[in-house]
Amino acid sequence: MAANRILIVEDDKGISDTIALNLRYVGYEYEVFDNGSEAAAYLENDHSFDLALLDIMLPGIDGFELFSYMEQYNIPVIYMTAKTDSESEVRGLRDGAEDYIVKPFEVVTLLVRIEKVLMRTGRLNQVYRFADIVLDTQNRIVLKCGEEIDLAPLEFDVFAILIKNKNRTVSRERILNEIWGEDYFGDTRTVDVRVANIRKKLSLGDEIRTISKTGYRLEEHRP
Amino acid sequence: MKLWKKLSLVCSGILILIVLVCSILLLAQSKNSILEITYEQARNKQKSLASSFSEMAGYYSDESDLATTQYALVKYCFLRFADSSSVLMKDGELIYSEVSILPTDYLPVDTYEQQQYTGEIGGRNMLMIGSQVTVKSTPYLVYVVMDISTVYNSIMQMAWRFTAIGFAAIALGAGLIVLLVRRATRPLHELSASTKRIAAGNYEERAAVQSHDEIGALANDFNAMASAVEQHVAQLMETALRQQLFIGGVTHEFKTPLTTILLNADTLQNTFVNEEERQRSLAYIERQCNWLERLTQKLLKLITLQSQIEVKEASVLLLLERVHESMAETLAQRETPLQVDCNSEALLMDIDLMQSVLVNLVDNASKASKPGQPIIVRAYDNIIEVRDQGNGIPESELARITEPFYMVDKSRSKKAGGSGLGLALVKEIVAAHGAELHIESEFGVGTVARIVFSR
Repeated sequence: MAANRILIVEDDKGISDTIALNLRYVGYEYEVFDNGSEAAAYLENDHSFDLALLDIMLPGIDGFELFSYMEQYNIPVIYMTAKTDSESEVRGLRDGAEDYIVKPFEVVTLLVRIEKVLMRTGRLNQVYRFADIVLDTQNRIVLKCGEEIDLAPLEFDVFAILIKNKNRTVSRERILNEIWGEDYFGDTRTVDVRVANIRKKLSLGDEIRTISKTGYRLEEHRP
Repeated sequence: MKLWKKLSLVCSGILILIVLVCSILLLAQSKNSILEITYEQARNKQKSLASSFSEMAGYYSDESDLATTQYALVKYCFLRFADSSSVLMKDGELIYSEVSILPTDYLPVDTYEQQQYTGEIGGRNMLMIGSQVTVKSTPYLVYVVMDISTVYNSIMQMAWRFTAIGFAAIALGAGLIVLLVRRATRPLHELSASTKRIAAGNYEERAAVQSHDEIGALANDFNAMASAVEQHVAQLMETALRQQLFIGGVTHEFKTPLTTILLNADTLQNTFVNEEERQRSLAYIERQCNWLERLTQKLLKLITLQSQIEVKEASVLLLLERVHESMAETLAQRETPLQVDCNSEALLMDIDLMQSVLVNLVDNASKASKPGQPIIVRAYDNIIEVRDQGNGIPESELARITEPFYMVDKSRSKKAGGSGLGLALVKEIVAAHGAELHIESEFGVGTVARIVFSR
């Protein structure tokens, strides 16, 4: 299964560039447009997108108009909007958008929303790769150099979070919340124990970097 | 107590008093005159009876007859004129009477003068008139004795009738008074009701009082006041709405740079980026911070401008030269020629602020122009105008271009570094000078921005 492909339409370069950068690092593919009409024109030839991130105020045709194109090609939509008034939210959602995110927002929020929408629409890529490691969340299998590695269920979950957010720092609290739920007030050292085990079993040393006072980051070493 | 009740009570009281006094006076007067007429008739009757009797008796009898036949004769003579009320007596002896009373018991008479008695005898009101007459030297007493109870009865009846009429008059009068007073005070109630409705927030409410008296005048004054209040409230609401829109606009404008800053800060903190990307993120943050700084400066200017500015006489030529100078480089880059034509001496202004106004207008004009299309700045009389031959502004947008954050071509203006505050600032500065800003434009032909100073 190939990486999920995302269409970004945002006229502010500072925003679209930074979103693109982060998407690339965590393993998404994408196309960026700063103009509604250009994005619509591009879709005629290539519409194999799993998700669209649309700004509302766009030159050319605006985000709401662009939605009908997305509908035509069956692409789920997340609006990125500076409009906080509920009217535009209601309109965006009533038109069938999967979600909306209000500016200003953080990268982590955006990534979580993207993953949720992909999961909900059954488009989420369930096979993740990191160097010679392959993680299949559907079958809960981890392969290293083609050989299955036996990870405990909680170790598997922690590693899945790290690989889904590769090159991004994931805090211990987030790992705790995602795996044990928000009501769990456990010791963050339980996370450290799992990570140590993962490092050992998958022979990952520096690649799982400990970010001091925060958490962990699975780093891809590049040339 | 309500005014209409007070007025009605006082007026009704006065009415009752007047009716009462009048009735009593009238009744007394009537009673006296009726009785007087009755007495007069009785007196005349007695008088004619007495004189007729004495004349006739004197004529028919002589002195010799009197001893024997006198009673029969006298009686005969008396009866010729008598009726049921007549009484004839001699020496305390009744000669003729049809009444059961002996008049001398009540009215002893011993003169030729008429005498009168009125009084109640046996439950009846009796009137007696009597006098002495002499027939051939013999004295007789002639009486008229009348029962005048009926007269009293009719007087009583009259009194009752007066009372009834009086009460009817009072009732009718009081009713009319209440009706009239209520009618006169009704506009006050309407006025009061209108006041309450206005107080409840219904500022379009007006008092519908159309009398031409003091209440009508009061209602007119009241309506004038209500209009003034409505106008002020509308003004306040408009100001509040404008401020709300302005704040909404400010918030919206801040969100895009804030998003860029936040996303890049997050990226720098959490994403495993390379050095080149790190530098780029930092550059984005710096650029957006600078942009926010410029935006806040402009906003601050816009807000402080709303207080008073100081104006003094300044040379228009100097102003235009300064504008030319500060725009020369930008215009040269855009290949936009600038013509300056000054026919004004001096105007009252803050020259620095006015310079920024003209720089703004010239900048807008050059952005709308293609290379080679000239911009003309002209000053004449009390007017300074900036004219271009550029794109022009669509008519539908013209009214809104001086609103804060309004941009005709949003994405293009943003790339050109526009904040959407330029014309809003221009408008505020011009307004602070007590001058007017007129923008005329024809799409595809060009735009004229005209600042008209008050003389």
